[in-house]
Amino acid sequence: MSSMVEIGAPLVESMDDFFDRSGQIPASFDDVRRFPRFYFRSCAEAIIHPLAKRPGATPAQKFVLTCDLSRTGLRLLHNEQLFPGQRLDVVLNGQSPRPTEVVWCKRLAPGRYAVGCHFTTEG
Amino acid sequence: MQSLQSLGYLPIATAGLSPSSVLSCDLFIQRPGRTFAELFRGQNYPIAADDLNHLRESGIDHLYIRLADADAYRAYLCEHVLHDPKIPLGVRMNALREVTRVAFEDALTADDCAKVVQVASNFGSDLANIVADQSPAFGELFKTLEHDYYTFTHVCNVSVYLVMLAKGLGTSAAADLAALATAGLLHDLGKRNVPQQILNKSGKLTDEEWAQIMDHPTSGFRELSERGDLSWNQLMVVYQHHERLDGTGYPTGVSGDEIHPWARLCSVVDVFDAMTCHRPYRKSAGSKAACEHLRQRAGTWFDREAVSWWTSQVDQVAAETNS
Repeated sequence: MSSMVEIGAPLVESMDDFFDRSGQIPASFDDVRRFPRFYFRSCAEAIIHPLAKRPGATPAQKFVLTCDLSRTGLRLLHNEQLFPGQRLDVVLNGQSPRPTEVVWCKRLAPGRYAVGCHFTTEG
Repeated sequence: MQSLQSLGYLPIATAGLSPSSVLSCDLFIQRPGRTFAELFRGQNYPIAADDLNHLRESGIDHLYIRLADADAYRAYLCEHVLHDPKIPLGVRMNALREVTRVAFEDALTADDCAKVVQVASNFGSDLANIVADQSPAFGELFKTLEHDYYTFTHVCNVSVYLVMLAKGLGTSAAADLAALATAGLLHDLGKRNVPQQILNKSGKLTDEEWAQIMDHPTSGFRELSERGDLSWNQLMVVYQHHERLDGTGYPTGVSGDEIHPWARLCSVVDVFDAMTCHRPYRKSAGSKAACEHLRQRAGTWFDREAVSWWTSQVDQVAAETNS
């Protein structure tokens, strides 16, 4: 658990504020999402796979902070940049890993990246 | 005088014809004062050195082929012009551009990514060979480029500029220059997913239109990263060429050293070409204004060293042209 705190701590300004959120995320006026999103704040284990066909790279086990999720995907925070198309197997609520794929990645601050992923199989 | 082009003929440079070579299509000439094409050489008939000299002495720098024979002419360019170091730089560059343009646009139209990469890769190798054969000065190569705004012209210019800039900053390995040239030709691949009316829109773009444009590095990267034939360096040119050193770029907003060195070079020449080309809805800003734009943002948006070298070379070309 200590490694989770070590890795997760710099990802957010305040852990208390971060984990305090729950419920449905209000839709904005220009929202074009098909499904509602819900706050889903947790520290999750993820197997991060290298991009397809990149020789030499191996999957790595990391911890990420999940921010919110919908029926089709989730947003998370990570301390390394991830790339579109990269696969992640995320363990949510201690269940079997959910395969996802990175759609976008935004740098929020040094060593802090928001990552949008979509689920690649039906849950 | 009626142009032969309007009658279905394509002009070709006499400087690109090799003595004793054979062109598998008819060659035509337009004599002064005539409105029609006259047969100059029948197909498969060797072109004599004396004939070429005579044309040059007469000031005739163009002959014509039928438009339908364009493929045969491109095959001739590949065989006789592209790889001949004795042919002038400008002619070889024109040949390279002509041969690549059609193949590249055909591959894009056919939505054949493998073919697009293959064409770009051939272009990269050929360009690196030309640079290695003739070691052109910056100004020589610079003057061979066109400045209209067709997608191919833009990616071709960016590719050549990238090679010039990287070489100027010390990259000498032909393999690296070829890889850079290939990446330059592919850097805007994702734009084919953006509607032309958005790319060519003269008015202000809506947020949604901007979002589509800003997606092109990501979509290009995604498509190309699924293939195994491009290096990480090349993929980063495609993905990061709109990033800025201060982190205000897109798609990720990475800053400083997080931006790949090749992508930093590409961002300089991409902006330079975008500002200096003519677009349907606005004139070129000119190389002076483009250099000023780059200088003002050196160190904040653009790599300082790259901007410094690039603008000094462009200034030098401008000074030589004016003197």
